[in-house]
Amino acid sequence: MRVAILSNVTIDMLAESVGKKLACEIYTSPGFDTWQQELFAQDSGLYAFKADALVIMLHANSYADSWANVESGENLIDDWLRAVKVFAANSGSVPVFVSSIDISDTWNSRAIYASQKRLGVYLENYFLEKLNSLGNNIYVLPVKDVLENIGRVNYYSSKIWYLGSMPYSLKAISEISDLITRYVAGLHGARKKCLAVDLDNTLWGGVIGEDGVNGIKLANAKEGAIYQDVQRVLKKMQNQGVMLAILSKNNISDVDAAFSHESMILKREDFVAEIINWQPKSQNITQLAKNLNIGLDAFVFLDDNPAEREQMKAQCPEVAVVDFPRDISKLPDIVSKVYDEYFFTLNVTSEDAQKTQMYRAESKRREIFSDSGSVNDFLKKLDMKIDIHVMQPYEELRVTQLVNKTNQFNLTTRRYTQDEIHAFANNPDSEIITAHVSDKYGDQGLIAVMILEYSGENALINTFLMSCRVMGRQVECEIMSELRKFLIANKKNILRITGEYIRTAKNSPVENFYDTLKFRLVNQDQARKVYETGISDLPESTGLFGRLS
Amino acid sequence: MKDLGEFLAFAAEVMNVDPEELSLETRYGEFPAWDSVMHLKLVMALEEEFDTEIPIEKIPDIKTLQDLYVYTQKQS
Repeated sequence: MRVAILSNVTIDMLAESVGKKLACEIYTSPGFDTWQQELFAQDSGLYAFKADALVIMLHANSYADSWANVESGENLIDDWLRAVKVFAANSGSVPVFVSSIDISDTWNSRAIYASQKRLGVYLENYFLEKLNSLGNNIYVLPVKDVLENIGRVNYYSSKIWYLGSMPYSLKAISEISDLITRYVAGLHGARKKCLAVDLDNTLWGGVIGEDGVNGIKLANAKEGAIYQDVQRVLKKMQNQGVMLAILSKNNISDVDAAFSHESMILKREDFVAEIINWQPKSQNITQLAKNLNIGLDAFVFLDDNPAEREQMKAQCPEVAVVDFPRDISKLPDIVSKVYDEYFFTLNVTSEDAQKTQMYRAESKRREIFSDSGSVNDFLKKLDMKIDIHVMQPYEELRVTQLVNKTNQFNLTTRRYTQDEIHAFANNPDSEIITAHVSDKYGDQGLIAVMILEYSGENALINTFLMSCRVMGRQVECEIMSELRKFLIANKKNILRITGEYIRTAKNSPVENFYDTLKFRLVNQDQARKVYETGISDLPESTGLFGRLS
Repeated sequence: MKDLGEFLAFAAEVMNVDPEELSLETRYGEFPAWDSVMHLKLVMALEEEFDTEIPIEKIPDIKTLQDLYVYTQKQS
């Protein structure tokens, strides 16, 4: 990982702190306030460094005179963002994080207080809006929020500013470097997938089995408000794609009663799954992992009972266990920090936001499966529909996400940046095909990606991957039959398909994929197998899918 | 009053070195970890840790850890 940090002030201490936290190589610009030159000049040290991410820290108060009126303020902001835009255009897909700015005027004369404040707030927001409109790879780094959290007096150090042109206090440096670390790490997606929560004394105060629905603490004031706030945070997390699950030692009828409480923020449907019984929670979380088809290392566990936490740590060391606060009023903050630490991600796609619904549907599907005689009967009952088409520009982000996180059903496990995906799509000699599946329980969205490279009469399957949530449903066979139709209709000169399997630690489920489709093995060694087949030998439709309109 | 051991341990932590490498004679510009950025960091950290204040015009006069140590002796 290589991170460049530019600024209009001296940020050596901040850079050092980020370098330590991310264990990465850091570039800072030479000289003072040269950040715009670095962005404009393509022969600058910044471009030569080839950063994986660029952070720009802007200290507004060193341009104090420019913030005196709307026009000069807007002009300065426009100048700044022009430089950012030039870099973004020159560097392709390198993500750029630009700090929000703080325009503070310590001169608060009563006569001009309102107009001064209004101007500062206006320009700060003007900056954010302009920044937001710059494009996909440019992110706001909410540094002003750090200032608001710790307070301006603790944030700036005037002595070090006048002495060394460094505006920030040690406290601010530590907080800002945490923020940068989280955002840069957030490029790779969330570290965990599911937060498993206890109920009694975690989602509400008291024990539902003893206190009854009227006795538990849950309200919009006093102590009950703590739990309501916890639930609000959890609800927001769920909207950001975090899966919530219940792990509780309780009677189901008591839990049903609790969820009917008028002050409950969370609904039963907000949880992807629940296991409510008197078995050890380590055993239940293992079951939950199986039901949701995710690893134990994708879980975070929140429980007020220290014995349960200890047992979880001992039996399931892969699960991250949250330190529950002794002072319960800290719980809402702790839960927010759980999000920052384990679930923070920069790009939330519409698939993420619908994840709960999709996983709930999955557990219903498993119920029918147990009632069906054969796999094919089961699949027919699902009433599946499929749509396969050439990737559309709005799908690039989701495709990039799948390309970079799919491990099991992934024939070649080649990772590409959004820029590279864009290039495949726009090159006449390659093509990206996406598949979408839905069934009577819900829409699974974009679940498979194939990248083809054409050369003469041959089409090479550079990449073929599928989300694990539709594995075992013959989607892959249907895609291959669609591929045949697609190539016959659109690429008349292509007669042959080459497929590869590149071995990784996780993709053994697809090791024999091309064998089952009757491709010919033409070459193999330890790491890789190469197969070929004629277009007309690709499989016929499975007959299990309708078409999505 | 802060004892010397406590002060050296503090300075070592800020500079991210072993306390045994430091003494009151350790000198700014000569000791590798103590560069101009570290100089400011030491001042900030010392003010915070020992609840003291070093006037801005005195900061250029700080040449050795001894010069810093005196500020921990003035207050509290």
